[in-house]
Amino acid sequence: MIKDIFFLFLKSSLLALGGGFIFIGFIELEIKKKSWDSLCDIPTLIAVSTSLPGPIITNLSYLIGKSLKGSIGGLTAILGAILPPFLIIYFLAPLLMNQGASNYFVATFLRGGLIGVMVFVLLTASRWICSVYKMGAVSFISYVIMTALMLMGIHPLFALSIGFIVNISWGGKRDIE
Amino acid sequence: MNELLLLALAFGRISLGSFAGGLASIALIYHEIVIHYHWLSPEEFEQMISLAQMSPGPIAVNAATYIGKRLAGLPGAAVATAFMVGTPIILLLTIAYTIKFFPFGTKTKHKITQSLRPGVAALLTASALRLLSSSLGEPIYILLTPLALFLLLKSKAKDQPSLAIILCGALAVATALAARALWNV
Repeated sequence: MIKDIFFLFLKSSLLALGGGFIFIGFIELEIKKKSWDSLCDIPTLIAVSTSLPGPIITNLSYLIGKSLKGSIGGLTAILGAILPPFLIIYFLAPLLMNQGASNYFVATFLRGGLIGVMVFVLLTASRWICSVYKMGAVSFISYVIMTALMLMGIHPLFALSIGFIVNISWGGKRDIE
Repeated sequence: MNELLLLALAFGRISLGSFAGGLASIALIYHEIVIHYHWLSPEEFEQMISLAQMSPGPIAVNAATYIGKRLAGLPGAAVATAFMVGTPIILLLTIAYTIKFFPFGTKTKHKITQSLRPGVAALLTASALRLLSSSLGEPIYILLTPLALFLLLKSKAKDQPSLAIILCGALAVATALAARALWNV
């Protein structure tokens, strides 16, 4: 079982490229295929992993591993999920560190990729901004102020805490989803 | 030794603020790594984010591995990655323990998630603006933005963001090669 957990998360982490929400869809199918879905309450685990801070992939891996085989299972799942990216970045990193990035084509390739990331973040941000706008004035104004604070160089964690306190006291008149 | 401790603290903080996935953590990573500790230059930060989003695994974990290795080799990479991944797990165990004594209702949990939404939107906006301000310099890249929009919204690659981002990189190289061949730029 431990070995199965390790290889399942190893495989998922390699194949589910593109971030947490893609990993969620992928792992849901894999768990069903292995008929482990009777052993863990996947919808609840997804809800918990996405509302916790930190990377969704590792949070969810831990929670699924834990419901399958206790704490050891949780740690095994995390290990499986972070081993491929760790090794890939560890060995690709010299590409940037040892002046590789001053190579014209490497630099251009990464610059092009950055445009893709920028557009991807903009699209995600616009969806979140729409949903915050629908939540009412307090939520939206606090969003604008937090953004301004972050861009001014205030620690984002600090801005986030202030916004959280404001919103839990006065915000969110209308519920979203 | 000192370096390892700083790495642990920095990535612990980044981890605690990264709600709703890796993209929101870009603003936090920028603050800790570029503004606060000056571990990377803005240029190297951008290249690292691009690489991190192309490769498998959470973007913030990839960043932790990269910066950890850059500062303190294998121990650095291990410590930074462990704190990025481990902090929310420790928090989770603490919450689970606390809830045994103060049970929260579903309504309270919902209220907490709702109250975090504006903050996540702010993190995402700050992340997007950081990247935007740095990528609108050269004309070839302005050309790439609509292409990236198409790839991520309309094409078959829209369910595979990493693939779309690798394609953007390849297109940039192709454009640069074509420009070289045609006008000797």
